[in-house]
Amino acid sequence: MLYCHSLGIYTKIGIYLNGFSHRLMTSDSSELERLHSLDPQAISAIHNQYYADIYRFARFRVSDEATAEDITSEVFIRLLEAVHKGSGPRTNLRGWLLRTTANIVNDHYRKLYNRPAEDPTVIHENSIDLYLTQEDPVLILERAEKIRVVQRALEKITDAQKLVITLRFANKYSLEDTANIMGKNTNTIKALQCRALVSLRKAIESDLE
Amino acid sequence: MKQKFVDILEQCIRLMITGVPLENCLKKFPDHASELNQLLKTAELMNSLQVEKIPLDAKAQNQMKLLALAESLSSGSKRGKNIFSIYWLDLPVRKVLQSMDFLRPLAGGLILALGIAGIFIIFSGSLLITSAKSLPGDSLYPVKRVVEDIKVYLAPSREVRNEYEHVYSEERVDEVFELMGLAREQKISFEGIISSMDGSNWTVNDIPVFIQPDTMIIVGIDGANVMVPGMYVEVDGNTSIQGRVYANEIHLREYQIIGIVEEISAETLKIWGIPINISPYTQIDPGIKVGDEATVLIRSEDDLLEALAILLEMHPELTIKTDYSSENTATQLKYSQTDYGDEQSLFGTLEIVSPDYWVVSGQKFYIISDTEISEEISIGDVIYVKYIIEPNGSFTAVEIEVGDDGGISREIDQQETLEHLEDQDDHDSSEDTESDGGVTDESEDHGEPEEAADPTDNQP
Repeated sequence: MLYCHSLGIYTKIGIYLNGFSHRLMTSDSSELERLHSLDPQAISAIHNQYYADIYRFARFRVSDEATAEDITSEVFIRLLEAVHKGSGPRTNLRGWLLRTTANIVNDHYRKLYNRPAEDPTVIHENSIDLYLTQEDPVLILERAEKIRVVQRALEKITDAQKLVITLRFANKYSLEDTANIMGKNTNTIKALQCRALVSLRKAIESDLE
Repeated sequence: MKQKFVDILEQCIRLMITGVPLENCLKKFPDHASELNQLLKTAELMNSLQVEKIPLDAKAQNQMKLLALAESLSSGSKRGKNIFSIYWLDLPVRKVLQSMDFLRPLAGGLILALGIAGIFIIFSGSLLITSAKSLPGDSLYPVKRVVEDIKVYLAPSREVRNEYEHVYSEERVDEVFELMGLAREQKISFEGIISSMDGSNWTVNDIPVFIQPDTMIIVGIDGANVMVPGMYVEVDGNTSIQGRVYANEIHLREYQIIGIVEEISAETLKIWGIPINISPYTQIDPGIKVGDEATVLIRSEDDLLEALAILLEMHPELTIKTDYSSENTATQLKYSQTDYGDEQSLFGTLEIVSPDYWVVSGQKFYIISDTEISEEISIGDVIYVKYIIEPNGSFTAVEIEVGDDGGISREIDQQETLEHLEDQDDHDSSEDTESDGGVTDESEDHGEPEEAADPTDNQP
């Protein structure tokens, strides 16, 4: 009863996801070796390969595009710094990048909650120029409100639950990929996913009451 | 059962992601439809928030930034591997910087504060340099005076403080000369010694000062110190285009008074009923107490009197200092105890006149209110002084009058002195030559004048 109006989006998502399931969960070892030698070509290749994933993860969790861009940028900078110090990823590059993204997002919210001048999940409508976009402004605002509700609810569940929801629904990773990134088995991820959805439903309902 | 439900949920989510409507999923698992319905609607909402638009501009910028960082890190690594480099010097610096990581959140504020402080230091330095050349009336002149005051206040010793004050006093005089050279009319204040007083035209420190009818002239305590050439004064007034200073106020800056100490504490001295401040720099003779007669050197400030020195008034010994008796220092004269309060007399030449004492033939006679002084006495006159000897050996004049003795006063004095010496020797031959003081007795028989260049020659 809450989400009947959003059913029409399914078709679009299905088209997008067609090319998504073939990702490899483990990074090529030669790619990591070149990364550790700070090879510009390897860095460019990694950036091209993972930028969109990291941005989607970040954008799903924060309220505005600029913050998501900053977080994505910070993830890659941390990657290079870690590699330079010899503490970067050794096997699972994507898992390392996404966990780092999750940590930076959590830090972002922690800083915001430490200075609660405004609701940290408030949507910054100014980040979308309503007069320049082709979309219907009403739809944009409806979507913004939906994001706000979800993000407020996400901040009320555990970090592991947040991560599984984000990986499954923002990044469209399979159950196996999600388990691989989180370093858990699939049964654990299934149970975690179930608990996360129950918690989210309760959080959303309490927010709307 | 639980495991089964999570499997069903996962299956439905997979179907939903591939585009199967929610209702179809629920129909496929009718036993769990009610449970699945709420969770799948939540999953549907999550799924609907798919981020489709990737900011390509931001991505390109981020990639360039990343490659620049990689280049920077790579070159840093190469430098660190060079054994001829000073990379080893970087290590302690890096450790220090890492230990200061906690300051990162404050880095912006710190940089801003340091920047402001730097600008302030540079600005204030140039401000001080510029203000040093300013003159009264210039916008930076107050800065110059404040800096001077601070330097005086922070002087490490009394000597340095006095030196600063002397330098800045000369600076004030130079400023007046500059203002007069520029024909600027400006309010000024300076200190100096009165070198001449010709009616309304005075000269103080070579600066011509015009005394106006309403000029306030403030002398010392109770008017005891009349303003005369040679005194140190402060002049407040205005420079003029005529090249002189029109005085608004002239007051004695430093002078001395003699009196009985009425009260004395660490902060204040009272003499003649007037409180005088004692500062840490005041020179005080040891042992001064209430009832002592003291000479106080006073510096007059705007609203208070500050004692520069408080000296025990040691009335001079009767050591005749004129040439005819200078040799007597070998056998200094001494008055007997019986001479206290007895009236003595003396002919001599008046050398110095001051409000407190007169000097006659080298001898100081203190003037009191009861001292009778005949009129028309001027310096150089031969006068006749009647005096008494105080217990402390000083002489207090009782009566002073013109004494035309035909130019024999010196000879009389000398003769009296010699006779007194003989009397002393006869009276007490065991008395040694050291004495606390002495006096020339008045003698009825002036005797014959004779030269006595050497006291040994005068012995019978």
